[in-house]
Amino acid sequence: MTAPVAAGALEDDADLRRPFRIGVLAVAIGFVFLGALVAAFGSGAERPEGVAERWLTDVGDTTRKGVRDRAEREAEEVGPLSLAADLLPRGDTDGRAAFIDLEVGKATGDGESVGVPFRLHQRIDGSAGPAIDGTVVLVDGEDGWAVTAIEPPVEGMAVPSEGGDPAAEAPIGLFVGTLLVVVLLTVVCSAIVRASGDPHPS
Amino acid sequence: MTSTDEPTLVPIAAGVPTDFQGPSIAPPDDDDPSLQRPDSYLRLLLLLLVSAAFFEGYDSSILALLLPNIQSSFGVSEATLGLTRIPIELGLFVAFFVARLSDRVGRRPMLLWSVVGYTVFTALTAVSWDIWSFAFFQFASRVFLGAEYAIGVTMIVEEFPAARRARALGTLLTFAALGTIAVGVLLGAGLQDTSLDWRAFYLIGLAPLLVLSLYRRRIKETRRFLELKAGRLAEAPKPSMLVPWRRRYRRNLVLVGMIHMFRSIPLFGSTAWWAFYAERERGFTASKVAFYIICAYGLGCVGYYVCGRAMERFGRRPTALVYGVGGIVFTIILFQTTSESLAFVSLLLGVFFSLGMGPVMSAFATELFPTEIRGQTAAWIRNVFEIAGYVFGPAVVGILGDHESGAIGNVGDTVSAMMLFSIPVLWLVWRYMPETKGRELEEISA
Repeated sequence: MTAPVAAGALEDDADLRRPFRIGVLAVAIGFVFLGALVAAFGSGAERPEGVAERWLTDVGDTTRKGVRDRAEREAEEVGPLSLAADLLPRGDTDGRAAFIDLEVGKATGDGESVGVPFRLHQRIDGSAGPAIDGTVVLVDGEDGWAVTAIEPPVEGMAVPSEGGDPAAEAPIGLFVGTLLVVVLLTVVCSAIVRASGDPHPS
Repeated sequence: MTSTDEPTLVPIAAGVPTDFQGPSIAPPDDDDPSLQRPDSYLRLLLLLLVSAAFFEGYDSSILALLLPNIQSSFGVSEATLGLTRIPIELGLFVAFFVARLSDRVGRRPMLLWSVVGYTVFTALTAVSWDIWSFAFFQFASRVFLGAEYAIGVTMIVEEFPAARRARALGTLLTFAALGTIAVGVLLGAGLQDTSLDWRAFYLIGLAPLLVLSLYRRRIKETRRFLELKAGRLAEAPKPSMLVPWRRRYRRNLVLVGMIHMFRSIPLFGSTAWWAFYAERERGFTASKVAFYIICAYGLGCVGYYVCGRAMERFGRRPTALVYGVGGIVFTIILFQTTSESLAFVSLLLGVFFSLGMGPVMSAFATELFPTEIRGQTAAWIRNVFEIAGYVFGPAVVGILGDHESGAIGNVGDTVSAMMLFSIPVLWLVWRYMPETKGRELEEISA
């Protein structure tokens, strides 16, 4: 049976309201700070690798029941669907996505025009067909990156699972910076624990 | 220490109220048949309750394992996927308050309505027309699922005799893990390749309604609730929810709370995004993801058992430190390696250490506080501090790892960097956490 808390031996709950409110405020400030930090680090810019991946996903979904219209519309906004005609399987996909899997690698180019390596497997009779490798060519225009061509794979460009570089990579400085933030956070946590009262049990 | 004073070391998911009154079941009144609870009834009750636990694990895992499919259905970015996790997971927080209604209206009606609410909103999830309708239905589903699970735990505590209570709670937890494995099995079987795609997984969530329709009339109100209502059992006054913030307990509450928060943010960030990462950044097929998950969760669950044994043998602090280091190291390897065999081993050991740490975290959340406030303390830790991980971990990974516009642009590196935020856990445990191995609860709280 649980025992009631001895009222006389403990502080009244009214005394707890102020520290409680301070605590809630501190947590809220912490989360706002976290949100601001995340937003501040947001690049805001579109990566061509991400655009190519989204376009290829939409291309694959043009055979998928229920999302076909949306996929066609969104793919056309980035690049003509006719460019991807050779990527789509010849047979019926039974209402499912045309690609069983999809992977893109790191873009290479001069900044205005880049190539993004990709690898995918078509859905053929419900199973994965042979791997299709290629390069999505994108041009940076007024409305952002646009797909302008699909070309054969380029020597030296590959997707990560084939030994290529990942589409995006955190610089080593980010990990070092994170470690420094973590050290600072650990110090702050220690200070909060010490400030919150005496150890119990001692 | 009596058996009824023992803290429940079974890890209970965030959102589950644990501030129900201690299991103070009076001996049943032999003259009143409505208070008799034969073994056959307890087995039936457990059957219904394990279905709640099973679908708690099942439902949470659908979202994690079918993220790429859901993303392409709605045509949204990784950042949007991450952001939608905030309202979805807040459903577990709301569940805490819904479950507390069972103190007033009774366990049975709340359990039955929770099952109905969960199944209705899970079925509606299957007909979502955009990501925000999906998020709303999942939020509502989480509210009822969390409440259902919480009331299930309460009913076990109130109906099962002390000697069988821990096993019943353990069974509940095991079924939650089986729910995850079931999603893996269905993924491996290609359910997502049917014309219903990922929506078929949510339609399976209608199963509890069938169980309910079969057994609804045979489920009884708990003896404790009936006796309370009949005035035969005096209800101990519930301490205020602010009691754990009193000066005497505040340091331990802040300490244990921060340990839970800094563990849960990276943990839930990584579990929510691994399948997406494996498919989109490592070129895994859905069937390979399924195979990895089945093996990793099947074998990795041994981590729970080993953790329980290790904390009794070596102590809470060393066990937590070893599990914490193991979790960080193997999760980072998992999200960095390009070797599939190393990824398999890392996933297995990552699950073993990261999720297997649950029992020692549960011990921290309960043992440092006296019996009369243990429930309130556990509620604060799980429903406020730990829920931060459910809500913010997946969101931050999605925003920073967004392939188009994220600051990092890569889920693997984002999760790896986020795992470093578990380091304060190690420091706080090593520097401030008292060792409670072999100490009676009265001695600790004296």
